[in-house]
Amino acid sequence: MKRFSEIFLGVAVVFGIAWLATVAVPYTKFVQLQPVVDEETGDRTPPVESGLVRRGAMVYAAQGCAGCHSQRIRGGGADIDRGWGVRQSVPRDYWESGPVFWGSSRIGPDLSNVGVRQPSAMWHYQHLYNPRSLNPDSIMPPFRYLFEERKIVGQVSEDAVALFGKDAPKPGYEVVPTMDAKALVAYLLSRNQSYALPEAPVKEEKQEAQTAGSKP
Amino acid sequence: MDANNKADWLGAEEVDASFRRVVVGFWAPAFFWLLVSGALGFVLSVKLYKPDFLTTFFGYPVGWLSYGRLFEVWQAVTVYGWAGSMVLGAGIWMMGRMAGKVLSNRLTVGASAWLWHLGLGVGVWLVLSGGVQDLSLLGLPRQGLAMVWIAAVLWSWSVLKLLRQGKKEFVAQWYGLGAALCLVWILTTVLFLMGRPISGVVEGLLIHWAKQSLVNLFLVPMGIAMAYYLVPVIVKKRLPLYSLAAVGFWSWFFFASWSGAHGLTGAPLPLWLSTLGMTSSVLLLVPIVVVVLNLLGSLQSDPKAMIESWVLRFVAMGLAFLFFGGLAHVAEGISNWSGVLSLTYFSLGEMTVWVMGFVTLVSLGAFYYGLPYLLQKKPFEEKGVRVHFWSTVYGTATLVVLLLVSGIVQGKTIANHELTFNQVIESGLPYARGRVIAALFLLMAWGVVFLNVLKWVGINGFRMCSRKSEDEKQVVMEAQGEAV
Repeated sequence: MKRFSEIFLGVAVVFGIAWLATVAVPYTKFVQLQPVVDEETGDRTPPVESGLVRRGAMVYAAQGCAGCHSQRIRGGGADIDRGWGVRQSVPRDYWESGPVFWGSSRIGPDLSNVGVRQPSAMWHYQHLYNPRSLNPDSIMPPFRYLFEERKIVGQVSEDAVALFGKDAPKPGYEVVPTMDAKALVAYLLSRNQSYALPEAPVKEEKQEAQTAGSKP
Repeated sequence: MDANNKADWLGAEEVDASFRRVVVGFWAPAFFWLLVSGALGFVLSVKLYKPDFLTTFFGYPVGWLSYGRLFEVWQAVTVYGWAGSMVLGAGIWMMGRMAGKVLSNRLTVGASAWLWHLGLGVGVWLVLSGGVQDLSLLGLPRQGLAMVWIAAVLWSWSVLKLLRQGKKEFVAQWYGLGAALCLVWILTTVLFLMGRPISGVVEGLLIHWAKQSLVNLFLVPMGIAMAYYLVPVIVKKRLPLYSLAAVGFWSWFFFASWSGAHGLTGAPLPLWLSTLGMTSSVLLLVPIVVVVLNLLGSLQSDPKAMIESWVLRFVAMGLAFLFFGGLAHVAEGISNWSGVLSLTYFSLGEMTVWVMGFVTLVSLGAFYYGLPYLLQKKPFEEKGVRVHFWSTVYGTATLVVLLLVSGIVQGKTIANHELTFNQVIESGLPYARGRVIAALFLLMAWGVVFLNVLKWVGINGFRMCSRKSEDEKQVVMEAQGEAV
């Protein structure tokens, strides 16, 4: 190629400048982001995630949940009117360095605040086991492989999932969540962006409305 | 069958022979991945309206059949396994032909082919076994991506070496050079930053940027490079707007470089970032128009070649998909629509129209053109190619239209908060059922190409093509549009 060096350099400059602006600059800017710390209690907002929640994030990644669910509330659209959140998501919401599942499609609803909308662990277990048992029109796949059907020894386990109809285990058996299911539900319950931040205040009535509001 | 035999050039037999093994090394597994992609496309499209379909194995619920994991695998095998492998194989061979040089580092490029497919295989295994622990790039987790990165470095280095050796200069080479450089740059950035404790918001941005960039700065430019090579070589005419080709090239790389944040409307990022992404995506239509006008002008100059050559039909239809995809990017780039169309099937449709439409069709053109040269056998039979062409076009067009339209419907129903989410789902069900038909068309198309190859090898055996004269080579070189 006659002008190899010129074209190589040209592409490097053209792409390099855009790369600096869209990747390198946000990296240096957001790396300085810190949580808001309450001076009296020492509590952090957003809160620190537990080990179980971190493991739940891995399970979320492994099941490919981000293919159908987003985790970012957009301002100015229907996201807040739908009760998916009380305010727009801001960079500080994703302060922790765990994987961030913004998602690419909303085949299912946004999960940024699913822990607030649906705070019952049992509901999540039942929903994961068979989504259509709670919503007959759901197109979410069942995650039965995250549960174990086992013989009841002595008393029914504390964490046995309450299943009914065709989902109910055969007599003398119970369905219990595996460690992965427990971690995944802990992760889902931790999805909460309803707290106020200096750059993202929340009106109280909205917070209340969401707690009593729509299902996921 | 067509104009294939008319266009041998640069004493290509020696060049082709030196590339034979490595190109087949990229292409042969690509067709396996294509069949996997077709089968998964069908299963996934059924699962989208019948979630209980294929969730158990011998009566036991299994994770590897879940929608989420299979969707990740479908993305990976389609992007890396099929489209990526095809452009890597065709790309390096065409760059070698244009440079007029034999491949001296066959071992390096061969290792690249092996590592590329091995990395993908490792990635697929990890996804299916539930071993993915964090974000993945278009379905490929970090471990697989690391192997693919080594393969990309070896390939890009070999391509750049070939380009540097050649004495002539062609439009196709510009795009090859740009794509080779950007491929390594993108994958290096992802691997370097994904392994570090970075802010979550940067991770979200990084993955989205890499996904867009891999398509806009590697796959599509390589598709354009293949089209710029094939059309002038077969019709033996100069590009009608040769001087504009440079404008198209530089504007493509400029706008594509800034389009990484396209589709991030309303994301927790500075507004300028998503605005730049949207604007750049809209402006990508400028270089697309230049490419399409240039190549269609070249095709129009010899209508007979177009009638005779199925290779040219593949390329021409690919260009139609490129243009259509450009229009879809414009639609999502319009500020009032972007909030409605992003996070819907429309985004998947945009990617599908370029990867499954443009890149796939041009790659198939390159395959039908190139394989007889590489293996020094007769061209493919017209009948099989014709069936393959139409089933691919019908399947892809149906899939793309359904994805884009269902994306619009999905976006509009989600935007209307008075509708429940169940009503949103219900509005998309007819399109989901339609995609099953598109998936069946495509599965048939991929089956046909397999049969074509089997029949071709069976019938033609070891018969060789004849070498063309030096005069003819010169005509083709001039037609391709040698740079001044």
